[in-house]
Amino acid sequence: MKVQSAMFYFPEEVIEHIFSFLTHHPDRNTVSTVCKAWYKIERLSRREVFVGNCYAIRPDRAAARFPGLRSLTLKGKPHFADFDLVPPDWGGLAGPWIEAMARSCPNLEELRMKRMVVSDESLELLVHAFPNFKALVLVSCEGFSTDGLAAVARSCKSLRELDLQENEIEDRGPRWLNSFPDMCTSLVSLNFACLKGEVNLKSLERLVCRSPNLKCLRLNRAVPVETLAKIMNQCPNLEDLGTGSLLADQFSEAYVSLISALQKCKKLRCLSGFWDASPLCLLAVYPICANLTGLNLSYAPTVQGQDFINLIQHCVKLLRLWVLDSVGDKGLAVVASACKELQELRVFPSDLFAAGPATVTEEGLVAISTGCPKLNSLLYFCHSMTNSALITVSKNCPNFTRFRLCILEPRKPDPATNEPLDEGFGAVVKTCKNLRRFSISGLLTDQVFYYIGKYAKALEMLSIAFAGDTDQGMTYVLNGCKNLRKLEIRDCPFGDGALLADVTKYETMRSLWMSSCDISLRGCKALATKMPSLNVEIINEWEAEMEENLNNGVAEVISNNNNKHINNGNDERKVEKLYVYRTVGGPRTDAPDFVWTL
Amino acid sequence: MKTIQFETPARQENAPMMHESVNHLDLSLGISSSNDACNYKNAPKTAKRMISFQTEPIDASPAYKKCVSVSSRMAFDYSYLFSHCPTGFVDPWSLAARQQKAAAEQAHLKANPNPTSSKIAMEPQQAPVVVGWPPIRSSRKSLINQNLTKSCTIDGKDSTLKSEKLAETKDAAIRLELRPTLYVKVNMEGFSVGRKIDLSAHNSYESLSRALQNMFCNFLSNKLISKDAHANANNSEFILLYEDYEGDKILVGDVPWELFLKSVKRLYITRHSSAQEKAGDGIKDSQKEEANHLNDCSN
Repeated sequence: MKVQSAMFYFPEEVIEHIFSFLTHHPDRNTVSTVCKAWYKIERLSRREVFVGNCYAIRPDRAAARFPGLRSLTLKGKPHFADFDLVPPDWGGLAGPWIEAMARSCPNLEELRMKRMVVSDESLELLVHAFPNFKALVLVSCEGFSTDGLAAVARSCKSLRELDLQENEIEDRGPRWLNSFPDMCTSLVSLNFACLKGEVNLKSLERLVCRSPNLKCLRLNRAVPVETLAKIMNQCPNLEDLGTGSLLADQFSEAYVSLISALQKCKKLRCLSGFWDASPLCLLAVYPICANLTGLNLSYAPTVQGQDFINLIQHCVKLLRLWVLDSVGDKGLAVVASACKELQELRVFPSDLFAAGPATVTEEGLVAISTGCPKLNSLLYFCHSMTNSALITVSKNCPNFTRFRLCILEPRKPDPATNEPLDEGFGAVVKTCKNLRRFSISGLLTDQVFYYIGKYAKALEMLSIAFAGDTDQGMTYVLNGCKNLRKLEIRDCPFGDGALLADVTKYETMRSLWMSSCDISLRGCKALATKMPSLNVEIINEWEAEMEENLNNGVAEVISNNNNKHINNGNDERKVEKLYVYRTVGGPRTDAPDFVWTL
Repeated sequence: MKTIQFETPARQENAPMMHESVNHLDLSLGISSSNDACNYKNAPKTAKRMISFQTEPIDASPAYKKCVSVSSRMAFDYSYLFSHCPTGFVDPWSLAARQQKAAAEQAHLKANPNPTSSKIAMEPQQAPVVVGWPPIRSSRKSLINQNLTKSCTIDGKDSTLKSEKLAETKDAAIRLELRPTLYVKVNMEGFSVGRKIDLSAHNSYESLSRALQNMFCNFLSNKLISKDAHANANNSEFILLYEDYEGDKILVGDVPWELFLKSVKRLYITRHSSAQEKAGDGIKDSQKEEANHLNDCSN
């Protein structure tokens, strides 16, 4: 038709301009598959790339395809690595990515990485290879030290953002803060809350003084109230503050100074930190509570009981709240009555064993759901839960997009009826049509998976532990959840039958994790054979078994040759940890000895 | 309050060299730094009371942390720690010595599992441990463990009691109990290599000065500092200074202990002659005693 032929006469610049309105990654990916011309235009104009699994593609290939790249987001280890289920040295190395980018994408400005291993040398390379580098965000990463931070501070001429969240950083002294050059005035966001060591306070004050654009500042526990007060006086335009240690004497100059400084910060919307917070310091925070949209008290076990209630009742505009379960059902009830706009709630455990009166129960959750109907994101740790509570919660809050409930004792039934929690979780998936992320716990049978498969059509990520009876459970999920991207399972009785029920499904997903389940080496080999586009990786410590055989006189050569281990005949061995993911990069070249790609 | 409780037993014990905090300091340091090993046998009947002030070094290795915190909750004889050193003296530089000590601690722990009645164990011994469960990050897990230790030690039993107690107790006591470890560098004049000391393991200038003396008399084996604590307090050869958060060097002893803890960032030991404009001979000591007296009165 005329319209279609007219399209071929569009100059490239026009098409590129049209593409610039496509910000959603999947849209850009789709557009690039239309024709060669569009592929070329799209790849040259692409500024942001998101790689959900760093082993899904080779770094060189990604870098070569998008030479104009400005922003790269990478994710490495599987999610369960956060809970020590993945051995150290598993992989997720940032080095090859940074090197590849250094070769092909000189305009890189932003790098965001999650669960990757970054070395100091890689950080050095990063800041020297990219003259326009502006933003570094590291979440749950490890492998680097404060020397690496010093390199970033020293060499980045216009660093805007240095955001370190929950990383394991080796402390080699506080001097890294001195490394910011005197002419560096571009900082907008600085977060070093996860640093465990001392910080040079004078350097910090000077840095803040010369950063007029600072909007987000999150300090670590080593920063005392005196320094905080001085800093707050310097930047009244701060929007996001993470305090240091909030210990102060009522009549100390620092405390008085802090109160007056906080009152001047009219734009402050988000507060976190609160380490060692004394009730007095909480008083200092009251004047700004009315404007707060985000509050993170999850590192402050001292804020509980009446102190918490006094604080939270002022926070009427709160959207995001992270607390410890020591606030109790009473505290949650006050939240429900005060924070009507609440959208996200996370309640972390403060005590793993004794369910004292101060921890939360299903009542707290029901109260929240009654008072905060806009709630769409929940992470809730508790000692027990009932079906009726879950049904009530889902009726009150049909807008959940993320729902994660963790009952601390595995396989615990509904204490009121002694039944499994299938109906409760089933109610959640039935009413919450937009549910994208789901984590379940407690006593669960295959029935809950039937519900998930039938109703959770928008589900993208599912985490299961100590649940299910037979292979049918997992099969329901694989067959029913059309949009499933990540499935992680631990300690469930799913075996080879479930694993092989629908092998093509894994090509539509980012990854599958199964640990302490009932799968055998035979099943994994079968999967690997049928689906060459997947990497089927096993994490196993079978060397101990080999050692034993040798001691018993069986002639067995211990070697690091994977083939010998894999093909020595016993396919019935249970596989402890399985990680399957789709990839165009072929088997990993950097896999350690204990990771076997089938 | 607890400060007073802490000090009197030490004085009554009639054993000037074995101050409980030095015990604890040695534990924190991970080395034995005094010749008084034999005297430790008598010390720890009061070891229980120093529990409140023992906090765990945050950056220590997990195994080490386990040793230190569990042992701090047990009132028992510390002599086992030194049983392998006939003279009691261990070269602080000796890595072998430190490892030996750590091994001895571990062995002792295996022999004596926690006998006290604290309901919540550091590493859970009642509930079965499942790897990676519950699904929380290690940074939060360590916060829980710190919290458990504190609630155990403050009143021994219940965490609900803890919140009530917090409301009642004075700020000074609260702060000391909940404060994380406060390791500061200590530099001796003339030596390029310094030491580190945990100030939160002490409750007074006296105990701090004793710990420093013990630390540096072994460190500097050919030096003039004598082992006698009392003699050294009056000895005007060396002066203790501290650097505060503003960077100024100030003589130690002027302010009450709690305020000192809040502002101290580093410690310096210099010769008296080089800091002559700052303090005279007797002034430092009387000021210190006065400060300690104030301590006692205000608590």
